[in-house]
Amino acid sequence: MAAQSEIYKLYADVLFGVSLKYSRNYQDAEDTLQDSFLIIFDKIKQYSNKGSFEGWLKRIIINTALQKYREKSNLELVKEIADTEEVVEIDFEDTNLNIGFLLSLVQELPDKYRLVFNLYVLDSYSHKEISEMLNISEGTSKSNLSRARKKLKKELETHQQREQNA
Amino acid sequence: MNTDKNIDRLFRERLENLEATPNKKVWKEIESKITKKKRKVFPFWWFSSGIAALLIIGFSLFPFDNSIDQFKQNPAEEIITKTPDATIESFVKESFETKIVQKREKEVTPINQKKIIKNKPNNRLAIQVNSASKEIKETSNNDVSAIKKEFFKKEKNPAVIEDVLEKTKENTVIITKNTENSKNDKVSNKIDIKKLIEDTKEEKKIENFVKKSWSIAPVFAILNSNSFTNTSPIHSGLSGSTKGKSSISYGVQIAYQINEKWSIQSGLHMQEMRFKNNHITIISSSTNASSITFNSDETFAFESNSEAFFDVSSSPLNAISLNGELAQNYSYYEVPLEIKYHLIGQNKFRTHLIGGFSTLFLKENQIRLSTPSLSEEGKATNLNSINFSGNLGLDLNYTLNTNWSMHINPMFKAQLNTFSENSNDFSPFNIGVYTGVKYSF
Repeated sequence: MAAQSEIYKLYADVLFGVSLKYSRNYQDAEDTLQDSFLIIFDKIKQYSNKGSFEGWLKRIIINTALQKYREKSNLELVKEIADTEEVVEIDFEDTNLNIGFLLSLVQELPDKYRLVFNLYVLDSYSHKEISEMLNISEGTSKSNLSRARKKLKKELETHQQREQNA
Repeated sequence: MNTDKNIDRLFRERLENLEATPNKKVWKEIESKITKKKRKVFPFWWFSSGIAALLIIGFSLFPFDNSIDQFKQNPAEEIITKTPDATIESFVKESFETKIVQKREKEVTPINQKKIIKNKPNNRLAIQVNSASKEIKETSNNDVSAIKKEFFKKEKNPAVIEDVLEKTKENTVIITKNTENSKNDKVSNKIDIKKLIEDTKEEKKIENFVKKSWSIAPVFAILNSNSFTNTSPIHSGLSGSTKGKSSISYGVQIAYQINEKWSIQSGLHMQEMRFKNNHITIISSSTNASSITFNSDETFAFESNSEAFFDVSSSPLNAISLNGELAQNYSYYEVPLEIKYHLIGQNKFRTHLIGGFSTLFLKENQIRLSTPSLSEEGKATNLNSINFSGNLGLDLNYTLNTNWSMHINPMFKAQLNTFSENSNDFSPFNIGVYTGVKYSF
């Protein structure tokens, strides 16, 4: 028990961060974290000392989250975004774009987009790896990524316009 | 494309190393789920231990030979038990041949003699004598006195018999009545008698066998500790180098014979387990990666030299010794509960199959690390205080006389709940040869 508690104390913050990015919301992130730790304590014997322990833990979080949304994703309809050609310059150095806001944008992405965006952009997986992990084609992975970007961009624009108007 | 990269960069910079402290309730949930899972292991064992305890209490309160006792409560029926063939013949045939009487007389006589020689003329003996002579009267009216005379002539101590007869004269009437009653009952229902005969015979068979149903034996065993896996319960780096050593077990074994085929045994034993890792590299380490706490509070990492594998994080430069030795000894109080099944052998040699399990209460827990330059003592942190083992073996029994016998039993005992955590899947078992001298009563 003491050992598990230590591991939790050491890694909960980092892993909850990962969980938040891959989840739809705070509640889901907590669930994923909890499920993952149960898996971690169960499988800890299988950790082979190869690679970093933190990396191993992160992979478990990611897999748990993927599992969660992969199961549900078939039921979910993704609303297509209209391709707007308007060009608004976004100030990427804007300090108002705080972490909480950016996180909420990621979380609000449809599951498929969010998972691909996280895997590709934040955790540096290749489209090939992603296609295997999510059981989709590489093409789908790429198009999901570009749609995710497009949606994020749109949200950022709206946000900035609102800021300017205020 | 440029915008894409900017978006990627924005999110990566801000979110890549995102850390957030989860609500405390998350850990509470995890904690409760882990403990629940751990507790799940126990009920099955507690459950079977409970049943075993009930069985033992049950056997000691209500022994199997209850029905035999009932026979003995009724003196009239006791006669049937003692001389079944003769009595049955007389009932079934309803003939009164002197021959039979004489035969019965001979049968009765030795019993009387034996008891009288023992100088224990109690009521029961008197009843036998009286009933016997009563029956003689009933079955052969012709020559009662003659037979009686003959009967007593054969006695070496007729005076004692007379004495006994005198003393229990009052009982005779009642007994005669009883004999009369049971006789009538049985004559009126022959089928019942036959059934009773069978029952009685069976009962007798069991009686002969169960005569000495309890036994106690001091036992001693030489064990060899072993494991199903090639790992070490102490440190993951030691896999492949753990060797089981010889150890001993001693204690007392108590057995109860349920019937001809089955018996149940328990007892209390002291059991030792010994393992050793030779020629290992001992590395000074700041973190405790092993399942040992040393009395000196020092921490070490270990590597088995047999494997050409060194953990990158622990440079061999820290190595204290390349030829260390790690000995782990732990011992248990063992309470076995085993069922024995009679396989073969009828007379002196009997072979039984033994199966069951033991509850093991941790007694000693010791680890000794020694190198040419250093010696440390400590204990394993991952041993459970209560452990169980599944037992299987053979019992080869040689009977010396009615009370004494010797046995040798090779046993295999696989431990089931030895370690609480981080034991690298080490799964110990021992093979032992138990021997003892058994006293039956």
